[in-house]
Amino acid sequence: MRSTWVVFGYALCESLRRRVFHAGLVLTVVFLSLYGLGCSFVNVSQVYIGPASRVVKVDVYAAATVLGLAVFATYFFGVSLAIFLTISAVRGDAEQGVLQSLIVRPLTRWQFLLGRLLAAVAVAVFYVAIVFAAALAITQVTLGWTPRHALAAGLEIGAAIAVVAVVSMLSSVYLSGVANGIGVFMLFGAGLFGGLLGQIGGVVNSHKLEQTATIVRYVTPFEWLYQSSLGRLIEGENGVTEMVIRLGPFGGSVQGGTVVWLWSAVYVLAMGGATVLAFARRDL
Amino acid sequence: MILPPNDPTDRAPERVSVLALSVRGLVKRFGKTDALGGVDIEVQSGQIVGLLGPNGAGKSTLTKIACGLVRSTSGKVEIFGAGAGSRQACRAIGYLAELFRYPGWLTADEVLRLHQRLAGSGGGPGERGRLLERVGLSAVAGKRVGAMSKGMQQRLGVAQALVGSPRLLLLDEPTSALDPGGRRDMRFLLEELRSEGVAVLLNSHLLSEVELVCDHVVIVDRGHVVEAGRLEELARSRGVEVELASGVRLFEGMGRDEVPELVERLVAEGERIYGVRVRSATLEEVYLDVVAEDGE
Repeated sequence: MRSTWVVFGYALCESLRRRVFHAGLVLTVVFLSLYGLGCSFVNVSQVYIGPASRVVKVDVYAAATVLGLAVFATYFFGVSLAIFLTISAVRGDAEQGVLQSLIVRPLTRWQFLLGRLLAAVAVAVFYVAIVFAAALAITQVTLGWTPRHALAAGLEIGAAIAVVAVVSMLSSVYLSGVANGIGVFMLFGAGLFGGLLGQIGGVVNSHKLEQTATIVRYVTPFEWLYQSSLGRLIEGENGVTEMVIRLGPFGGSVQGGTVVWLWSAVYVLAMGGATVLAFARRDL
Repeated sequence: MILPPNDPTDRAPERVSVLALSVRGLVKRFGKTDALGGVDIEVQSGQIVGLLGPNGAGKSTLTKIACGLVRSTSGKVEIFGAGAGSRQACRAIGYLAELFRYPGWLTADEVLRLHQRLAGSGGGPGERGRLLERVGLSAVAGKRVGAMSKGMQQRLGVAQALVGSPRLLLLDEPTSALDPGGRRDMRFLLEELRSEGVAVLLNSHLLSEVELVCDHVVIVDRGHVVEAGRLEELARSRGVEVELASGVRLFEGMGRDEVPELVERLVAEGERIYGVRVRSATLEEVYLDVVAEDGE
């Protein structure tokens, strides 16, 4: 495993020194600043509206809605970072001549892959954790609301990012950098689209649409984890307030439970195994 | 084609010969294309073998299979008795690819440190300093690769290949970006390595360079070895040049042994002889002959 950690250290340094990472940090600071500014503009003059039986907690609705948007942005940034850190891991680096001198050293190819993957996941998940925590803190300070299950939601977003990194690593064996980036982003888009279909299916009560959304969830478990994390964020809210919240960015939320974690683990193991096999057979 | 071990007339000092690289019946197919069609090569320790051939002959493929970067279709490649690509084989080799790039954000010293750690070399800063000095980069140890010229990067590549004191060096066009001074330095370095018992497989298009430094030459064309042997063996006679009053005449097919009879005959014919020279084929001529023959 020593070789894996050497590659991990090398890939970690590479990730942190990449321009895309620095540009991402600057954009993140801009995003969080704008998010803080936006939250401070939200003016909740009434905490409750409606009759007693159908009360809407306006403060919760407003805070949850803006946080939901921030969580989507965090998820998108995290996915982008995970893709950028892994798109050229194999074929892209081999085409540029970076990989060969490393692979001829006495380490197995799976050790190399594992080191690179762990570094990409570490950087992307750490980044997501920081941005998510910052968004929660801003929401608490400006709007006085924090979801009850924020930690569980954060873990699921982090896991979603890790799954994306694994998928991107696998396709990097076959596709060169740009093609891989486009491909994984398309898969990410397909996941989002599946989520929308499920949301529409729920509203119009279409079994077929909901079934399609379920299949998409299994194909793109990162999206399922994201939808589950949204579900965690509004867990505990009920009645009309929950219904109103679901009209916004939480429309696609689901209760993933243990199944999403188990399926994600199986998916990652299968994808990881396929990556190792594909890389072992690849001529460099 | 199997090459004999060095004989006492070779430039390398006498030492016990160990088979560093053994390639037997090596076949590699990329889809329907035969890149290598049954190649046999041996490289002994302390021997520098030049691998020549036109573009697409299969030289780089052969080198990559020996490094474990490319899988063979059939045949056997062993590095000091261990299968190519195995950990044991990887520990014994140093490799410089034809197309290589080091991350621009690393310094020369950091590149070597990374490779030391991957190779499990305990040489530390001392080894890095020695290697950088050996390739003439000690003054730029802290310089980022991105700010280096192509020639400097190639020197760094050679230093990287030497990390961990490999017993077999596989060099794919190691001087393509070097100036004449750099090429001379590389030649001296290879001669030093040979005297230390390191085996070298040098893949190059620069015939003059191969002629100056290699003990043996293997010429590959379209995946087959078309000529191999010691330089002296390959440099066969091209005839005898005689300078006469009427000009220089080449008597093809003649060698050193026929010179006295030739001179006697010409004098008897009334010619005045001003000079006689036995012409040997240069490596370039041998190369062009065998590659052209094979292409016909």
